[in-house]
Amino acid sequence: MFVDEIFLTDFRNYEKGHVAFDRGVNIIYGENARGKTNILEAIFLLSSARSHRFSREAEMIRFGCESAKISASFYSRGRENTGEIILFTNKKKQIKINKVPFEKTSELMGVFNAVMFCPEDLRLVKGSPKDRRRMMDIGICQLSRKYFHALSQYVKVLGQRNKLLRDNPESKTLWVWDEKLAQFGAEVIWFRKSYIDNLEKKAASVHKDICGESLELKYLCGTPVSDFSSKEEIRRQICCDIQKVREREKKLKTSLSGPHKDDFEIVINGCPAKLFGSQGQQRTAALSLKMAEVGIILEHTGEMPVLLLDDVMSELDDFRQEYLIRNIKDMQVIITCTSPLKYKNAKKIYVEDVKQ
Amino acid sequence: MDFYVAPLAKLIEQFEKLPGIGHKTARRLAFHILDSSEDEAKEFADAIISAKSLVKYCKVCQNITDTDVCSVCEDDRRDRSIICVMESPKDVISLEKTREYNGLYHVLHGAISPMDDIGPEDIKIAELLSRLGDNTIKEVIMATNPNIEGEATAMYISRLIKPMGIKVTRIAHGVPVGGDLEYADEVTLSKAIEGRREI
Repeated sequence: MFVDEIFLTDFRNYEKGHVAFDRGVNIIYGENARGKTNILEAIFLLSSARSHRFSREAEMIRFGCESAKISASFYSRGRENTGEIILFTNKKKQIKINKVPFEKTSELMGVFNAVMFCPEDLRLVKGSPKDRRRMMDIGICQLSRKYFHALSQYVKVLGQRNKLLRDNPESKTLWVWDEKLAQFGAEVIWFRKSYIDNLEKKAASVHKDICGESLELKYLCGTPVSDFSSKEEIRRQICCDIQKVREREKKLKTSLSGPHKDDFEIVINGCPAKLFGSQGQQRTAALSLKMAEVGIILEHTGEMPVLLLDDVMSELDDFRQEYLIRNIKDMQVIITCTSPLKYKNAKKIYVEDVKQ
Repeated sequence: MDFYVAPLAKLIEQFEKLPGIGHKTARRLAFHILDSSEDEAKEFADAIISAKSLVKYCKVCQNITDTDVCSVCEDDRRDRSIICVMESPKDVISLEKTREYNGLYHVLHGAISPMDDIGPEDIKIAELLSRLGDNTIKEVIMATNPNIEGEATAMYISRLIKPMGIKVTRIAHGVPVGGDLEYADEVTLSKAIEGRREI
C-alpha cells in the first residue's frame, strides 16, 4: 500500500496543506512545533479512523474552525483509490473511500493500512498493562469481527457481574455471571493467546536481526490458564479459578479473574525488559513489536502497510537506523525528524513547504 | 408554552411524555383531539382509563389479559405440556402471529440485570416454577432475548428447572428467513454456521 498524495484543510495547524510522497522513503523535516507529526497523524487517521495519540476529533480541527478535511490518493488492493475524512466539532465524522461513504469504521480494515511507530510506543514496554491490553485489542479487532463481538460482550458481562458483587455479593444468581464471564472470557483469551504467539514469532526474528538478542513475549493471562488447547478447556479453567477467588471477590466486591487482568511481558535475553532493559533495549523491543505488526498485516491483507516513523530515528543508533532502512525497501516509509537525514534515495520534504 | 391556553398545554405535555412522540407530533395530536367531537374525545379518554383499569396479568401465565385467566391458558385446544418463556407480552404477540406455536406461555416481565437492579425476585420466576409441579409440563422453551441479560436469565431458569426432570430448550439463533445471506452480519452468520444441521 502506498499513499501518493494528501491534502489537508483546517486540520491541526494546517489551514491548507498538500504533500506528494514517493513510494519509497520519505523524510519530513523541519524545526519543532511546525506540524510534522500532524501529517503522519492525518495518514494514520485515514487508515484506522482514529488518532494514534488518542486525541478527540474536535482537538484535530484547526482552532476556531467547524470542520477539518483530509483527502488522499492511495494505492491498495491492486488499484488507485481516493479517500476522504471530514471531522466535525458537533457531529460524527464522514469517511468516503473512492467517493463511497463508509458507515462502519471497522470496514476500513484492509482498505488502507498504516503502522505508526512513535516515541509514545515505549509505553508498550514500560507502560501499564492497560496500554498493552489496548494494543492487543486494537490489533485483534482489526483482524477479527468475532473478537470485537466477544470483547464487547465480555465487557458487558463484567459490568453486570461487578455491579452484582458490589450490591449483593451473596446473590444466588452470581453463578450465572460466572458462567457468562468464563464463556466470553475464554473467547477473548483464545484470540489474545494466538495473537501474542504470532506477534512473538515475528518480533523475535526481527529483534534477532537488529541486535542479535533473543526476544520473547509471555502472555500473562488474567486467569492462571495452563492449557490453551481449546476454548472449552480455557473456559473450564476460568470456572475453576473463579471458585478459588470467590471469597476474595466477595470481600473486595469486584471480579478478580478473567482477561480484564491480562498483560504480556517482553523478555530480552531472559530478563523482563520492563525492569531490566536499558532505554535502548526497550526502544528496540518496541520497534520489533511494531515491525511484527507490519508482518501480521501483510499476512492478513497480502499487502505491506505504510510505515510511519514519528521522530524515532534520532533515538536509534546508526546500526539500528540502517537496519530499518534496509528492511523497509518493499514498503513506503514516512519519517519525521528535525534535520534531513543522510539517506540517499529518500524524498525530502520541508515541513514549511507543505503549507499553502 | 405561553402560546397555548392552559388546558391545551396540559394535553400537549401528556402526549409528549409518550415514547416516540416529540413536541410537534404532540401538538398535532392535541389539536386533532380539539377538532373532534365531544363524544369522540370522551371515548378516547375512556379507552385509556379502561385499558389501565381492566387489563391485568393472567393468574397463570402473567401475560396481559382482561379476565382472571387469559384466553390462551383457557383454550383446551392448546398443548398443555409445553411452556414458552418470554420477556414481555409484546414477544408473545410476535410468536402468536406465526400461528405455529400451539403451547402455553409464561411472561417474565423483564430479564435479570444487576445494572438495572433487576434480580430473579423482580421478575415472574417464582410464578413459573409453581406451574411446573404437577407433571403435566414436559418441555420449557426459553425464548428470552438473545442478548447478555436474556441469555443469563435463560441459563438461571434452566438450572432451576432441570432437576424437576423437565426438558429445557433454547430458541435457535441464525440468519433471518427471506433475507439474503450477504446482508446478515458476521456474528449472526458465524452463529448460524455453529448451529448448522444435517439435511
